[in-house]
Amino acid sequence: MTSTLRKSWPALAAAALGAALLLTASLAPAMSEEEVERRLLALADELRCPTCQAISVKDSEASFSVQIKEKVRRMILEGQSDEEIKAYFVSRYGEWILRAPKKEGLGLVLWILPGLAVLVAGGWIVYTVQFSRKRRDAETAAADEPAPLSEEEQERIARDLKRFEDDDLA
Amino acid sequence: MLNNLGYLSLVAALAIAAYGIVAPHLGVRSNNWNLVRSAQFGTVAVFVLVLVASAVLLRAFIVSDFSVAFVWENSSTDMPLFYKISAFWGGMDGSLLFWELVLAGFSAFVAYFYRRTNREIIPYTVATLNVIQVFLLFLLVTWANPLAVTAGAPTEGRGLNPLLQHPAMAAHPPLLYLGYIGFSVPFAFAMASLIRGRLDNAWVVTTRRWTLFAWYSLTVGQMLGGQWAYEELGWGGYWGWDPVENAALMPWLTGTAFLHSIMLQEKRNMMKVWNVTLIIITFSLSILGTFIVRSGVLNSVHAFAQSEIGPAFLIFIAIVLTIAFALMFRRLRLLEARHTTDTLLSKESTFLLNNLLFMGMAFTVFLGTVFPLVAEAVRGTKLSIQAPFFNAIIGPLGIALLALLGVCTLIAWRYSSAGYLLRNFRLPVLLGLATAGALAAFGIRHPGALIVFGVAGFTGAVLLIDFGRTVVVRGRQLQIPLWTALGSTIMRNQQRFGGMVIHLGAVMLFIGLAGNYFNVEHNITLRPNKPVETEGYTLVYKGMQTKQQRNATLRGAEIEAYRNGELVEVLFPARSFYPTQPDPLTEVAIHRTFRHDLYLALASENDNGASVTLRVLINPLVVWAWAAFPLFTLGTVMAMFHRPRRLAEPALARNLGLSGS
Amino acid sequence: MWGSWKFWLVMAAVGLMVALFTYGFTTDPKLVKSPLVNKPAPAFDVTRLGGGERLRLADLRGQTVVLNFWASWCAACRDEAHILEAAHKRFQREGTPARVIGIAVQDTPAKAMAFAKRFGKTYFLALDNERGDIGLNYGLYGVPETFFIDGEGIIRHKQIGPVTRKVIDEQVRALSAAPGAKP
Repeated sequence: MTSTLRKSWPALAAAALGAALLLTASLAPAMSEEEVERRLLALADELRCPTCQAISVKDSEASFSVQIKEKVRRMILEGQSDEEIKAYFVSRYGEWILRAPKKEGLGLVLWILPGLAVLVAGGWIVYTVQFSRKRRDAETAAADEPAPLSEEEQERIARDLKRFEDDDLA
Repeated sequence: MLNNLGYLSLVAALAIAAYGIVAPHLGVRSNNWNLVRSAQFGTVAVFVLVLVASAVLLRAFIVSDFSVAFVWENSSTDMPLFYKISAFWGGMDGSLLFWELVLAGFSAFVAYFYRRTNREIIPYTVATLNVIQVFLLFLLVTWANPLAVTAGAPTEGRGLNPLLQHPAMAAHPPLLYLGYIGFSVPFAFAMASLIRGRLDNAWVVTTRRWTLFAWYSLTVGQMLGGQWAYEELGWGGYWGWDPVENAALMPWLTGTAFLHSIMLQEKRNMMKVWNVTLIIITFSLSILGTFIVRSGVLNSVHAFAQSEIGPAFLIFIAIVLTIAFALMFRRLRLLEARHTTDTLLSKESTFLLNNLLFMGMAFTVFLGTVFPLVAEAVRGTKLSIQAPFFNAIIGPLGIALLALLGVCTLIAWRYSSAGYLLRNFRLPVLLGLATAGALAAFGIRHPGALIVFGVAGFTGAVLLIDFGRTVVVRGRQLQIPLWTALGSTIMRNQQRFGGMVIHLGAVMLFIGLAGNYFNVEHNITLRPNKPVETEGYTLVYKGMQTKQQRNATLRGAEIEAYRNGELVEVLFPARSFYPTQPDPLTEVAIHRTFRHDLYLALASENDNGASVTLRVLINPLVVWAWAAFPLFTLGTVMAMFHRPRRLAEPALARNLGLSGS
Repeated sequence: MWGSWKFWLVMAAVGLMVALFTYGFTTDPKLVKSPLVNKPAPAFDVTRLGGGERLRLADLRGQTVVLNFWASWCAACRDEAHILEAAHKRFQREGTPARVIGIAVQDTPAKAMAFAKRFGKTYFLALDNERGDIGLNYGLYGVPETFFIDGEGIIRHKQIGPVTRKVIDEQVRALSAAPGAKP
């Protein structure tokens, strides 16, 4: 080894170590680009475009929407959670920026009311069907007072039944 | 001069329609049939007068007479004739006149062609239709005058909103209106029956075709709206749950429920109270829809300016609901059913469930649409209720309906034994499971999609097997070849065949909707002649181009799309600039296959064409949803020709295994 | 019918719906109340358009701030330009402890300065960066929007759309009279 190299090897070693550390840090649990895209699209789909009528930030090319999308991307890369990102936008724009209300308070009423209404109405239908049937069964049962059949009546019945079977459905 | 004539026609129509409300009542009361007949002729006269006014407005559009304020607001000389005509209903006043024109036409038809049948209730039907017309004519003559004069003498107009200059958008409002107005006729008959106290099934049977026609118009009107949104708005979807879309969807949902439950009344004399309720709700929702679009209380894509029309509509709706329900409750005793459902395992029950699900969906849509107002009233904060909420609730309800469709088709009236159910459901259930299994084997793992495809397989199988079996039985019994049997079965069971075809269309629609689970989207920047691979396609950007298309200038990117090395299509995603509008419109480019749409939207042109950024979407199965349209059309046409038989016949026909569903 | 409770139930539902929509007439769906009202104003750090002076929100403590967001491409901003300029001159003349600050969004320096020159804006103007950081922080979703911030840095009112002389005078009077304002 030359004398230059002998003098400079600590610096080289330090540089190599530093580079190795950086490399490891960048390979460590950082999000893949796919993951970032996926989270970005999911979050952007939950925020409404503030200047459009019915579409999400994800689907909109309006200038404010594009800026919001980029901000969301930066916040994901900074390591913020989905909840934190949504909370930020709600704190600046109001709950109005979310495409569906949070499932608490008045929002919860909205979410459960339809299902509840269908279940209650369904239950009522089942009840009235069963109830009307029970009532009719009770009525017919009450009206039923079968007297025993005489021999002649039994024979007539047997004959009629046979004729019915033979006749078929033509 | 001519324009004044048009306005006077409207005033005269208003007067005669008002007469047409009073005269029938007086005529029946005093047993003076001439009075009633004069009202019927009056209804025809109203139609002629409104036709005159409409012709005047149409002429003003065709010759670009900008002295008429409405023409100035919605037309310009550079527009193609087709859109000058469609501008008639491109703004509020004109669309109200169009509505009144169609209503007047339908009323005249009813007054004239039904004047001998339904003698007991026709006077009141005519009177009710005239009530609605008086409301519309009053608006037209006061705040919404389409023939009002422009200040000054402008030589050029503001032009129709370019968003509306699209064929689907030209046809969308008239079709929707035909639907809304179509429901006015059964409503009027229902009211007449209540007023008269004649509460048999006459009104239901008479108006069955009107209901079907109205349903079909609403269906197609909405499909066209969806197609327009997909191609013109450029965000990649076809339904946004915008308040105005919801306003058309709600009467469609209750109208579909009504279409089914009147069958129950026709065949089994059930649900009379419910059917009256349902038609009142459907009619009110169709007016409410217009109210939501016009009043400005809710934010929406249509963005019509706020006007005084809103309060007028709201008052009208309130009055209609009050009087209609008052009439119904007055006759409640006469409406109670003679038969009721026997068991839960019957076709009757599935019809009830059908209504339950449709009403559940309608309630959800209504709730989501008005909830922002509720939240503001209660908490003072504004909320947005958009697709995530609606999809989450309507999705499961829709899938339940799809499954119910299969169940209902197979299950029998009155009662089905467990054995019967097992025997008949075995094959379709297996086929449904096989469908889902096969798709899973092919790599589709999304649970929601698998459920939809599985249920679609089940229901499709039920529909086809059920009808197929009927054909086979008929062929065997009459000893004729299968083809003849098929034709013969169709001809003898138009309603049933029509219904099956429409239901198959619904299955296709669900399959198309399920494609949304797999939508993929990428933002891609392209440089000239540098191919980029995405989702199986290779895209090559060739350069920017500027084209002139009638009254718009298009500036877009020429993109060659290759698949497997072969050029499949040259696409031109662009922006279109109209002289009368400051902001450009998106013109998307779509390459459509059975499996998916390759959908390109121009996001931005960078450095004057040095590169271009596109939104590239792959939307699977879109064409399946649009394919429902021809099926709906065929089915409706078939079902329209059906002649309802008397209640006795279906029992006999059923025993022969031929018809009666 | 009048005695039927079902009828009155239906009527109640109808009445509720009508009441709701009548309420709807009194509100404008496009006006969204800002959650930032009565909260501390988000900080910003800008350089004056055309060069020089640096300004942070904290520097304005003690004064009422009329923070106006605008853009050269915004048609409605033309309507309010002279009103803001007049207010600025008025504050200077009368020694009111209030400042008018204008931040242009989604704009370029050249276009913004041209607009300012054309409409005679001499008060402090700055440009939001391309990412729109300041605008996003303030929950901006359109221009023009004007925030009224009191001497302690709390936002007290947000005006959506062009501002009027009346609104400026009202707000500034109310906020400058509050404790914390210094001349």
